Amino acid sequence: MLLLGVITVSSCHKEPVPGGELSGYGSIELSLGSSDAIRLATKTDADLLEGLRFNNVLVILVDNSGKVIGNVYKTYPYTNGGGSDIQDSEVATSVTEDVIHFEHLLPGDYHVYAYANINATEWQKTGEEITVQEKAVATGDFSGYLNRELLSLTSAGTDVPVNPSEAMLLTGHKTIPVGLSVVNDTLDLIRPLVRFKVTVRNHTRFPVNVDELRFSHFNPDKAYLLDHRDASGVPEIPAGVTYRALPAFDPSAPEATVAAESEGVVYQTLLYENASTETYKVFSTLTLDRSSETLSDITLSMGARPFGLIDYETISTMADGEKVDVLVINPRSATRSGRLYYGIGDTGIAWESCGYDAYAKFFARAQAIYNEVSSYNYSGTGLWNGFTGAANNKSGLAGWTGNSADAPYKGDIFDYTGANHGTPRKKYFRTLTKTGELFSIDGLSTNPLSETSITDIRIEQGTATSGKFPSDIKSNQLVTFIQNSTGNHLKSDCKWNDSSENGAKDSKVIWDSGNNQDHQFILFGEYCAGGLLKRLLKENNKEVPLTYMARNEEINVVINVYYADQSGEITFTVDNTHWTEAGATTSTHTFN
Amino acid sequence: MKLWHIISLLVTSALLTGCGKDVRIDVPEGPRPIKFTTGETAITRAFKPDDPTVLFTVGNKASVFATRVQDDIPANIMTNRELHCDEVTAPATPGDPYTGVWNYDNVVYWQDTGHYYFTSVFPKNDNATIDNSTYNLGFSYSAGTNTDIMVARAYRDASVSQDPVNLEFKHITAAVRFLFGKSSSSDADQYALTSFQLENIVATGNFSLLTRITNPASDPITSSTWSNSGYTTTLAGWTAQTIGDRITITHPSDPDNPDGYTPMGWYYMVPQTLNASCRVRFSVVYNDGEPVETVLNFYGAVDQTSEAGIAWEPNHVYNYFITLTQSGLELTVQAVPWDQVNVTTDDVIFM
Repeated sequence: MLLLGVITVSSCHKEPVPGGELSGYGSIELSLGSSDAIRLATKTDADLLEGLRFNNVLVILVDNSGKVIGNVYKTYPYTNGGGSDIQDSEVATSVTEDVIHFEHLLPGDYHVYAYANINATEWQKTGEEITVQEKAVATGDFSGYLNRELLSLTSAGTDVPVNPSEAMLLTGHKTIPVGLSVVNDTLDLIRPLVRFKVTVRNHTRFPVNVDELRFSHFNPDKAYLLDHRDASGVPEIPAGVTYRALPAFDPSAPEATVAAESEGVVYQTLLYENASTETYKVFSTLTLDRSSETLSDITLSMGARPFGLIDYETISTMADGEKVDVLVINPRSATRSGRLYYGIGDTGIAWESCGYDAYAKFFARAQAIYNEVSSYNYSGTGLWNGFTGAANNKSGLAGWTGNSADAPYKGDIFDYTGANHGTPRKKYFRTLTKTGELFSIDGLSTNPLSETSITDIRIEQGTATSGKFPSDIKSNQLVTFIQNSTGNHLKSDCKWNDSSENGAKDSKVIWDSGNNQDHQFILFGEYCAGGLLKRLLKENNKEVPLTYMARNEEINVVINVYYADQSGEITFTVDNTHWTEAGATTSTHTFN
Repeated sequence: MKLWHIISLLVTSALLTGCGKDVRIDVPEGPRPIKFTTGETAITRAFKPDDPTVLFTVGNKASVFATRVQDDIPANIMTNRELHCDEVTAPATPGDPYTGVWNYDNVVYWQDTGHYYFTSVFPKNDNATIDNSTYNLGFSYSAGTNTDIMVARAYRDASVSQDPVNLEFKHITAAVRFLFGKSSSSDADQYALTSFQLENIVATGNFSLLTRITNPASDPITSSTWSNSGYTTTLAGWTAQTIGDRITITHPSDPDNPDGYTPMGWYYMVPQTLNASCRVRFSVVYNDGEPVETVLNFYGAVDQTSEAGIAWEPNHVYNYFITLTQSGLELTVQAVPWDQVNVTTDDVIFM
């Protein structure tokens, strides 16, 4: 009678590398060919670095109450020690798989935690090394190890996990029910990181240069060592995570240029897994080099919109890390009250008088600055020929640089040459940046002597107070800036009625508890929406917003570049000589 | 001590034979009454139901049919007549066959000539009939009654012999049992069965057997004599109501000897091609712990000849050995490639 066992034991035994030979002098000579040695070594190293092989593995078995039941550590090659050692021997120095045996188990649910290449400490927290901590846990409660985190990165930086130097740390976790029979199961050892790549696929006949490449903020400063997912498979992230920008793209690197009709990886990095409620974005500026056909280059930014109003609706779609250069204007209908604030001097804020009776005139002013008009006539009637003091509609001051050495400007003509260019920043355009849920304005300040930006801003839609703004300016065109920590609103502290010239030149922006017409602003700029990133689902090829990246995923963003240079002609003729009446006879109708 | 479990399935199948010995009874001259005898071969092994009292018990009743054919004209001379066992003679030597004397009321006498066909069903079955056109004995059976039904056929040429007719009974169901054993011999490892049932089994079938046959030995009873609707259900369900009802699982010192195991059965099943989902569900406690349920699919379980068991045949015995031994986990850990995710964004179109 034969006994049919339901045990199936699988094991991966690699054959010993041939070539060992006992010489006549009692020594062993290895006769591996050099090319074999190089090829074997290179392949194994690369596979270890890629996480395709492991040279050691730690498997911890925990019962449903969180108690450690078994701890098996194998480093390869591994020799079975006999006696109570029930693990398989392995002669290779690294493996792609191995069978770990556990016996004498009570029925129930077990949790298996696996760590491989545990000597790779680049991503492990100092003081929480697996070789010292988890490897030593043979009994007792394992719950304290479940939420261990990877090495924390700099919250204020853009650093990412470094590339492994010898092998890639791998982890795995699975719940396995054990009944009254031996259970065979498989656990995948996965990389605790994401690999992020951007490929430019150039379908044109010209080379493409990537001038700018940045992303919304999805680079976290922390992550769990073991896999944590919610019910829908989205990774769980440790509390207090800060999402930062990715390391800067180098437009001068050779890979930033993609040859005609080819593709190339222009950016690649490792990063921790991440999740967000908003869709991730990419912002890219590319230049098509048409010099081969003696044509000028074309530069295009992804999602670029024409210069115009940046309203609250647009601002509310900005993602973490996104920015836009804007002109900041308190758009009052009275010429004495309207203000364009554009910079910081050595003692005060740089501003210009900017008041009109219609929206179109504000836009025209903004366009003049954007187009760098050399002679923009503000009032045209010489209203600024002298400071006239308080209670005077002209107010007398056209603007001030904020520098103590500069007298306030009293002319009608503004020269905007270079206004849209220049270093270190554009002269008139200030950068509005979203970080997390809040905003900052770089290049303006409520404390010009000590600060170079206004931060901690929450933006809400403004209110067009009747009589204070042109009638065609609506509330949805206005924004108001709120200091998130205090609830105060940013105010245009316009000194049009100050009796002294020094006082009147000191128009500035301040935080203020009020919220009237002085606290409303209109912004003009050239918003670049970037491109929304969409994940292509494997099961049905549908696109869904990319809102998370999970460990072991290699995220490959593809930017397709096309060139539409074909033109066509449409011609038409008009026949004015033959206009034929419909019907050969006249129709009549008799009404009864 | 930790609980160690592993399940192994072993099937043994054996033929039940009901060969009997003829017993001569001296009768006076003149019309001779038709008489019947039965016999059972010695049972030496424990692999099959071996209780002769199933058949050989005074008071047991069987159905008997008899047809006389003369010049191709049949006449039913007994139709589902009650045959009762009036005497049982136990063998002087244990292991030798039993014999029994079976009588019926309103004696029927042999004619001098004619072909006599005898059919008997044990136990007596009032629903058994013989079809006059097909000459098939027919009746239905429900495994819920768990009856070891036996059928016998005999033929006599009255001009040749009018001796007592020997009814050689054959088991027509499939006898099935599940033998539980623990691999550990230690008294510290106590296993007890707390529930048991079979699932996805055909429970009812129809039996149909040709009776007009002169040499029954040449026409063995096979699965073709059975038909069923294919409807499967749960059978042989049992649950321990109290701790005292639990069945202790023994340690068989000889793993090949079923006597050392704890049996569930015999179950007399409708012969059938097994449903691929046929299974046994049972619960076991270890050292008075909580019951742990296990479900084993026994379709295709291999027998001692390495044949996969996918059917239960009539007159066959099936012993399923379930050995509870140590359990464990064989975990394969493996490295895997990156999970490739393609991400699209807006195209850049230069014009």
